[in-house]
Amino acid sequence: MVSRRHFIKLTGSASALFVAGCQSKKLISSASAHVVIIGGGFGGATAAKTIKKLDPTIDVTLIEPKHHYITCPGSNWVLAGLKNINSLSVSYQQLSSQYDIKVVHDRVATIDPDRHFVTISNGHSINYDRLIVSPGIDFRWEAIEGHNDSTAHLIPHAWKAGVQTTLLHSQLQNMHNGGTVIICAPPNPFRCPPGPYERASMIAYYLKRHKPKSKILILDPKTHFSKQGLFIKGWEKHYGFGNDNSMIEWHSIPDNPVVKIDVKKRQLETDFGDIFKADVLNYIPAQQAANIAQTSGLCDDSGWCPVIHKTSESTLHSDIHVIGDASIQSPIPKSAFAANAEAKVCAFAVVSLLNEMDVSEPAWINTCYSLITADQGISVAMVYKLNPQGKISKVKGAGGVTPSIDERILSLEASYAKKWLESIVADSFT
Amino acid sequence: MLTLIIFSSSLAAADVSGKMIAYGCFSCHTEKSFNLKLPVPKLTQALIAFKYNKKQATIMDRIAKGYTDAELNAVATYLGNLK
Repeated sequence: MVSRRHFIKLTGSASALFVAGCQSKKLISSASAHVVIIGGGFGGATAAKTIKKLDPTIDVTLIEPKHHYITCPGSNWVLAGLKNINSLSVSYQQLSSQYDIKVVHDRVATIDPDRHFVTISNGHSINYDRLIVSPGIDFRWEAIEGHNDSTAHLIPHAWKAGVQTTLLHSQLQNMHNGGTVIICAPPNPFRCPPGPYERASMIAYYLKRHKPKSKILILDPKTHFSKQGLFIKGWEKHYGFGNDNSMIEWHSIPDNPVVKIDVKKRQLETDFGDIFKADVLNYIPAQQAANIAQTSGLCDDSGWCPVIHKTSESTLHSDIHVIGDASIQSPIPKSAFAANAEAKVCAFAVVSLLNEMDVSEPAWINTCYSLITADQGISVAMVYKLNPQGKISKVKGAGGVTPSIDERILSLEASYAKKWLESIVADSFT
Repeated sequence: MLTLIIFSSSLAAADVSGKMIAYGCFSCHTEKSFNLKLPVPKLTQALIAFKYNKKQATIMDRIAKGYTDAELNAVATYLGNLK
């Protein structure tokens, strides 16, 4: 049986073979396998780098429209004034110069899973032996009336870091003392489960110092959220949570969700007709796998991409792997850390498959750090392995949340949170 | 008896390689930080101590509990031999 890679090797230099008139062994072995990666976030960048480290003979092309990537981790810290948005910017220069990864700054228009190529915006096509799709998320605007991508410059989601983060930051800075900030948290599953609550903490940290009469309302379609116990203890201690004059209020409204926005008035309406008026409105929409995954037939009815967990290969199209937020890797949450971990497991598998070797046993780690104040932090961590049914499962006895709310421990957690961001960026992009 | 042994061993997950685990370490501890050539026995000892709560930590105890002793030994061996 001729594997796909061998088939490519045999036919890849077709014209040369024609001239030679016979199968030259040297020609065949010099053809390299080609992995194309869509998306230069934590998942795509880490996959590209890891494949090159494991097997430098594999050609790797990373396709990403942006020349600079702004990390979502740390972007809530910008709102507190703890970080400058520019310090979250990373380039692809080191990936291309140090690891010989071909970086194409373009947008993928289509994927042809049968003929193994992608087309980019100028109509050119790029062939692959294996494709890794790491496109992140897009928003499900149909879940809300009166607001969509075209009004996101008025009502920022700030759930993709960059201009949206800067917009929310400037709206907070321009708000009067005594204003109301409303954060609409998204339904599950979504990118960065602790994100909306860290965001509330970081906005409260800013308001407490500069606009102490202000309030933050979190409207949540969920009944509970990530690290809830630790967030609430932190809010009680620092922001008066639970008191009449608490700076942060959390309203769980699963039966009465926000259904409509008047973007000009910054006003929300719930299913039962309750009205909430905001001075700064941060509506974080419901999410699904990014558009390219939807249009390429990589998603199931949930709007996310099902994969074989051992290899991250799509269950819907062979030789295409999906990693990061777009893929279903539950119980691993959708985070930058998880995308980095999934990329490594995927890279090990892709290298083995291209070299016709057994795929090694995978393991994943995820840790999500969040800041409550500038120097108090919390975390949740877990180690995951494959169970006998081939599904990802939590290792019993491992992981969990910050074990103590001792101020000294939370201070260490905050310093590790900041160091973690530097490390994961270095590990993924340099 | 023999079939029972075969059956139960097929249910137990295979060990994860030291290299695979080490790549996970690099998310928080960059690969460069291991270039100090830490001695393997010292690394193994530290990881085992984290796992069995013999060494204070904020998070390494939670992570080390995810692996068998053999896996911790394997990852220490890999990390200790990085150039």
